Amino acid sequence: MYQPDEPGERVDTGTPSNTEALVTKALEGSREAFEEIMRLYQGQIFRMVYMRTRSRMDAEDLTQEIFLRAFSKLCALKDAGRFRAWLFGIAVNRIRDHHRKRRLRSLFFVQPQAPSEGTEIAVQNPYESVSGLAEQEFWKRMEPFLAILSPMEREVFLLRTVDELSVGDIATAVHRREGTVKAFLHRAIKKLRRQPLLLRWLKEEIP
Amino acid sequence: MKTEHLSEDRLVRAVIDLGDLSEPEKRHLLACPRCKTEWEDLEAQLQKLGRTAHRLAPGPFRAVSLTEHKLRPRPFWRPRWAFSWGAAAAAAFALIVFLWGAPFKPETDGLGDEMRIEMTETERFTLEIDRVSEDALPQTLSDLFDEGLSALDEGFLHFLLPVSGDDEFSDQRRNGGTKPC
Repeated sequence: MYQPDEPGERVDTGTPSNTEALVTKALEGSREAFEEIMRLYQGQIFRMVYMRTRSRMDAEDLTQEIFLRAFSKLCALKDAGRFRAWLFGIAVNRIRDHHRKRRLRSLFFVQPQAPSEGTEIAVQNPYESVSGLAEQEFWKRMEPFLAILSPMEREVFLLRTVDELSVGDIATAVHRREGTVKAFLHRAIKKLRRQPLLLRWLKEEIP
Repeated sequence: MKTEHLSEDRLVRAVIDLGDLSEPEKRHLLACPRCKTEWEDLEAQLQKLGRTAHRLAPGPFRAVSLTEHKLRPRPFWRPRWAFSWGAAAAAAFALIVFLWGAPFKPETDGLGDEMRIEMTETERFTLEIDRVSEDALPQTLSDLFDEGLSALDEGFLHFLLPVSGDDEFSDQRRNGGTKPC
């Protein structure tokens, strides 16, 4: 398996100055600099996409697509220091398009029965069955909570808690004002506090 | 004297951005053990949730590559708006034909019946050849395949649902995807 960073490692937000320098080089036409950026950020973007699609294959394809799009639109980036927020913004758009296409397909055609979540995870991680079971357990508890959030509440909540973006970066990524992002985040966190089972599980079962 | 603790709203606000609290609220938060514990617990819960989601998510199998699926540059003769305008014109034409079909009906051309039959046969034969060259499988076998997924291919979906714009950061437009700028 390709591992741009160690599994389980907390989000590597990179050295901002290093990323900024690489983006500046890439803007000057250095392909190698952009390839280095891809290596730095692939793990983050892949996980971000995976958590929103729950499909490894889709996550692989979308990650590739996101970086190609970022490369082709890099000159649209005004501030090299905001590269991460900008990249996540592209990812948010691609994932939204992906879900819209899936919904459209499902309107016209009956999709072949998808394998159950457990099967998919087991097939995806043949050597990581323990991790696969833990993942199933985690999502079994997370999904009811995510289901009660509105799409924007869910997006800003995940961007903040899982992807570790600042409020300012989330605002850039989802093209909203910071005050709006804070309002969505506020509602999402209050809804989380109304989930005693999830909170107890997090407190007691997760080290 | 009764102590005023921070409400749930203010605690959540502190977690999102401590700077949003007023100075007296901040001082209270840092000095009051009860409020401080609640605030820290909530922070810890969110961090734990994020850390767990991250730890359990798999990593990518393959490295992304710029050469794998290079985006093709849009040809100068086919600008972005051409496709949608073309589709709109075709739809309008189809509607006109549907509503006022009579004016477009072929007039009697004076050909003999024998000639017309032969032309119809030739046309039918040509259509049959086209059909077989596109899909040689008999209908019964074709039905075995799931045509649902192929019928709505990526190109058609892209036409129906154009890609969301990422241009909010600049007025610059795409350059074809072969180089950054």
